[in-house]
Amino acid sequence: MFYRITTYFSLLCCSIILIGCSVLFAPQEWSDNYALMDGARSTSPQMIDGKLETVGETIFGSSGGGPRAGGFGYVNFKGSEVVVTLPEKQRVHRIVLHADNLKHFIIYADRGGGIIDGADWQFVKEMQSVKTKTVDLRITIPYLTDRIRILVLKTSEDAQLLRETSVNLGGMRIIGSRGAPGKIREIELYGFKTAEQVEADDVVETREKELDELLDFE
Amino acid sequence: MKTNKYIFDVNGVKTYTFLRHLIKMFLVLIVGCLLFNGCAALEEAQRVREAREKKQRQEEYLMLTPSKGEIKIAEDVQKAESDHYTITFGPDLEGHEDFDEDSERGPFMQSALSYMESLYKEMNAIFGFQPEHKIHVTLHDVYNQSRSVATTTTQYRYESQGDTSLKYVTGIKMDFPLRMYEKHDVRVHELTHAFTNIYFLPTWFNEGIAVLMQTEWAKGGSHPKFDNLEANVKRNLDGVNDLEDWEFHGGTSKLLQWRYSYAYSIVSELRKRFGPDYYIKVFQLMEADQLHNKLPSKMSTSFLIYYLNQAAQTDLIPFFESLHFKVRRLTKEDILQNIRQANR
Repeated sequence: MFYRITTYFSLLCCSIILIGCSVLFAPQEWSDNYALMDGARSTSPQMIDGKLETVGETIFGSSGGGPRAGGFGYVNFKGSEVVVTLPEKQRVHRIVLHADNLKHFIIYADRGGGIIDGADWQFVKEMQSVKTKTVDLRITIPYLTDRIRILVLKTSEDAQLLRETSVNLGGMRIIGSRGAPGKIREIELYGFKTAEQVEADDVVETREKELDELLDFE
Repeated sequence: MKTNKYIFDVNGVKTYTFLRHLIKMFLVLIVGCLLFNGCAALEEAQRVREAREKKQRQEEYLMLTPSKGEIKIAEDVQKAESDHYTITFGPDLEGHEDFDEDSERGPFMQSALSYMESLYKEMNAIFGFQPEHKIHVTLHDVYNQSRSVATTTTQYRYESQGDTSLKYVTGIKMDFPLRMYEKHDVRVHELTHAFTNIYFLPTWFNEGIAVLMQTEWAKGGSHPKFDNLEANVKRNLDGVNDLEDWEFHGGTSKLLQWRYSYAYSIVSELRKRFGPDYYIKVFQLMEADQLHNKLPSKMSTSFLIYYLNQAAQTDLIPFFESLHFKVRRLTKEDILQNIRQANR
């Protein structure tokens, strides 16, 4: 009797473990692009319109730099930025940027609840010496957020712009006011699909397949 | 010595136990209710706080929704058209190194119109009205010998209808030097003109509204606001507020800067006093009356105050007089008489 119970119990445990593992090893699917949700907004709306042909530019804040004498860097240069807001809070696990000129940028997520202005910007990722036009980033700490900010600190067009705008004044070089704005074609924000969403997608897919087969049959 | 002895029989013990359980259950129920209510109240408080924070955070930036309209680019890639705009490159941009190839002009025009359409949609939602005509945007390298002056021109014609001569808007055109077009707040300023020019407003008020939108909505602008209107007033030789002389954008640069700042300060002050929807009400009143297009010339400040008073439900003549405007209290009959007199 004891052996029988032990055997059944072991079998039950094995099944649970196997089911658990299959769930663990099942490939997780990316959600739809949150930036394309109805109600998503951006300081540069071209970056979230789903069209790679349109380019948006990051915006310089009012304190985003001024001329500097002496030849090095900028005064108070805080870079240019773009902010994307989502209609509801989401966990963003992956960010894809299709950009033309980004070299150095930092991504922040707003957790909300800040005392002064309600914002609580948390550092998410910093990318330096970017060489590709498409940057695919996996986020290790996916904050629950409805606002993402990309701060562009350096672009590949900065050097040329600075050459064009800098002036020599009696041996002293006045460097142009600030760098070029970041040019971004699209910002894509992804989380993971929930089990219900995967199931719903599967149902739709199966149904579509059945309808196709029916049409083929006719 | 007398002692009290309580003796329970079996039924007494049962009753006592039952009562104890009842009280316990009652207490648990009360605690449960309190906890539940507390949670609901906390949740409600959290929701209110989140909504407030969201509003506060949205005011920090000019956030726009992407445009879904179609953008058509001409075959020669010199012109593009969207629902509310056309965009063209001026002749002096033909040789510009950034736009000398079709592959450069096409995406630029598409991106530009996409942004302008988003802005249009948002502004339409704010004002509650929109111009009837498409806005024709022309980009230049240098415009009117300057790289720092953008303009919006509303063209109109007069047409006689019975005894009255009516003004009709026939077209709206915007001219931007490329350097100005790159500034999002300048686009907001000019688009505000495209919306409000249809009411033929006094120049100072028109510019004041445009700077208000540029500064307080688009978070840009370079015109400071005066804290004390009376102390910062400038008057002409007749002793009248200099804003009343503002017809064209000429004059010394210091006076022009003052005019922008002072007009913005007045408009902002009235908005602060009468609420964020104040000017929407003013435009609604103008739209309902349709008197603006019967005026022989631009709207006078007294005429404007006629509507400002109605929207504010208070008399603003003393306020404008304290700022040395030469104004008088008008009735609708005064305005109609003025129109009749002009058409006689």
